[in-house]
Amino acid sequence: MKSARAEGLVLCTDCHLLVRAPRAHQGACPRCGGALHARIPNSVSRTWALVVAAWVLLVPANLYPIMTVIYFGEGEPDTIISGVIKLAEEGMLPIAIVVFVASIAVPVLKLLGIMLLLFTVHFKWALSKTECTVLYRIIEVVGAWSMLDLFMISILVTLVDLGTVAQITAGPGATAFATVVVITMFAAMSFDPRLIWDLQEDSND
Amino acid sequence: MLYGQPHLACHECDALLTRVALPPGKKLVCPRCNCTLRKPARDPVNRGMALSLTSLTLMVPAFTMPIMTFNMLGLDTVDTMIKGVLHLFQAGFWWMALLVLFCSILAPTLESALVLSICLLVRARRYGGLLILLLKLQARVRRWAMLEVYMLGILVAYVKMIDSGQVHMGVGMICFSGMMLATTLNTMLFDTHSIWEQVGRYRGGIHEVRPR
Ligand SMILES: [Zn+2]
Ligand SMILES: [Zn+2]
Repeated sequence: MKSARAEGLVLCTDCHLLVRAPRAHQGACPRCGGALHARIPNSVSRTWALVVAAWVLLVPANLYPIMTVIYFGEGEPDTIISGVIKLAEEGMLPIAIVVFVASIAVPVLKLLGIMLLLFTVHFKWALSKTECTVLYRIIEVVGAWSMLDLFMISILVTLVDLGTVAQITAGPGATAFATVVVITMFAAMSFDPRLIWDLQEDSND
Repeated sequence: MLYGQPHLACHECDALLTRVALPPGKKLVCPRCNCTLRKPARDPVNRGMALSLTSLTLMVPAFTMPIMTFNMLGLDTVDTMIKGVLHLFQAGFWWMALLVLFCSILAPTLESALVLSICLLVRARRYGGLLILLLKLQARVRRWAMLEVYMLGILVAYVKMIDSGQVHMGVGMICFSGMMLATTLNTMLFDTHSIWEQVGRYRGGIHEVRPR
């Protein structure tokens, strides 16, 4: 199967019009005026930069407390991990699993997945193109679910605001974690899945 | 032929495909990577308007009415979506507050408002620069509307507090559920391709592209 690029055609990123482009990075779409690029420009290096930034920020996101629950003036700050452990110990195992998946498994596996795709493109690994595309789609869809912890915190700090009796406050880890979520979403967006399939054509030549 | 062009390319794998006529209800799937390329809707403009109006109407109570109330030792607190954001702002967590505000309130509102405006412009046959701008904005804002995630956040918060005191779901929760359904359906079903085709036909000069 031929790619549009091999035929000198470029798909407009904005309106999906197929346009004949004399050069790879040239011109504007006749339908919507958007800039035409055969592939997202600097996709790999930009994605790498965002992935590295996300790994770095994952450290403060997990070291600093994201939330403190205070009953009658007493309470210990919880990090993401200690929060999950506490939920499990209190017998709320299903909730602990949900929070673990959204706050720990999803960001880490998402970053590892993007790195696998980046390595595959860079080293031309002979992985299944179909499976890589499925991985890309999972990464794209799953990213938003990491916001779960942040939404939950915003609900809890408002809901449990009983002065000296009970109070829940957010912690600095939440700020770092919020940034991680945003950066990983941008990382998934900046990766161009067509690069996976370009490998196939390069090897066919 | 439903679409003007004889060829199209897959946006996820760049496979060059021959375009076929596609009746409403059927979808065109990329033979190489299985990505859904086209899914013509039966009446995209009217349905888009109905769903956008529904979600915009439900947004007012969903954002301002109580999602949950918490009672402990005779003390009551009420949580609304707006209060949740304000609380974070007041506590100094402005970055997190902005993010929660954008993903749970602004992006869904903007998305519904954009779909509604796009539909109104198409009905008025105004295929100019404004429609193009709104279509591009809608495509960018879509992924930041995270109502399903917020819904799970509400449920997790509810279960978490159930042992500590009395938690009750409020009226806002019902409105939120309806709003979430309408907004999510709208995003899933809104067929921007058919609108882009109309823009192309109206503007003219959009030439057929054939491989060499
Ligand atoms: Zn275009
Ligand atoms: Zn494809």
